[in-house]
Amino acid sequence: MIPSQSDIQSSAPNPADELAFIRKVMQDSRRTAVDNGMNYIFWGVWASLGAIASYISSVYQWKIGLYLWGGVISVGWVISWLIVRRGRQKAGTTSLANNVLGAVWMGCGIAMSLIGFVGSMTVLGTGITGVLSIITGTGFYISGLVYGSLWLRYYAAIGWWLGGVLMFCFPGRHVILMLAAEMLLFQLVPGVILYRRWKSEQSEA
Amino acid sequence: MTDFDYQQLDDIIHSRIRLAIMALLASLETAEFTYIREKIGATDGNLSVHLKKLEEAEYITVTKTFVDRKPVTIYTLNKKGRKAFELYVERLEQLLKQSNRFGVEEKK
Repeated sequence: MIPSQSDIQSSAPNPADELAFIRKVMQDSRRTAVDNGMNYIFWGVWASLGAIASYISSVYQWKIGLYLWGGVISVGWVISWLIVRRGRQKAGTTSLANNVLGAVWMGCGIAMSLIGFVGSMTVLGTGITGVLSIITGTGFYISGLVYGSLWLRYYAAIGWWLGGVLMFCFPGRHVILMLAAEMLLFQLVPGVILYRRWKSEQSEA
Repeated sequence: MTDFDYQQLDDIIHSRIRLAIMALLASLETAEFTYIREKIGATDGNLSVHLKKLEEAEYITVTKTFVDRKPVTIYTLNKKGRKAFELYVERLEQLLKQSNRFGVEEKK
């Protein structure tokens, strides 16, 4: 809870107290408005499963890659939207930070979907995973700034960017497994950390 | 002048509970009634009275909607409210500077 009942009901003795009170209310409400990381956890698990299935299908030459990713991405978008909707309803509030994060990941998601589907049918070919990896790194870099989290900026973003560079340098079928590993290390792990941070902030509030 | 001139401060905001509501809404985009109630720790009736006062002053905008078939009231700090809040904070800072100056002069 932000201010105590006695804090609120007491009259303001001086401007310094008033300003300190305003600062405390604003800081606490900003802190409790952060994301719960559920979408990172979901995409970390869901997309890594998709990548593993895609690798298996390419080993056995099943030629279902496009349909498989079509299903993974479209179902993913729907579940992701439901997670955001439920989160907002439960929180009872929206903040500018949440809207910025939503816009960043919506932009990255649309870019990745276009590159993944249109790119795979045209010029990009096997380079797609590297491009997707670098876009995801950019999403984490911006998100880290919004969350005020240095580790998210430097651990997850650099992990995705380095992974993208390795994918460009060492192309081949195995890059899809590298993508699955990145999803677990740099998507699922940050999601779990953000969830735990959110949980502890909720219990403090 | 030896005391703070509180007449410079906006009477509508200058109540701890309304100030808390304004500060809360200034840091968020929107907030539901129940969220504000939990954060401020006020009773339903008390909070309603103060929210009504802010609404009448046209500092906040009220939207009534349904979530899972339950009625939900959402509050947003509008342009006029944000401007009033910023002015209130500015005046407080001026008063603080003024008080610091008096403190220094009295010591002399």
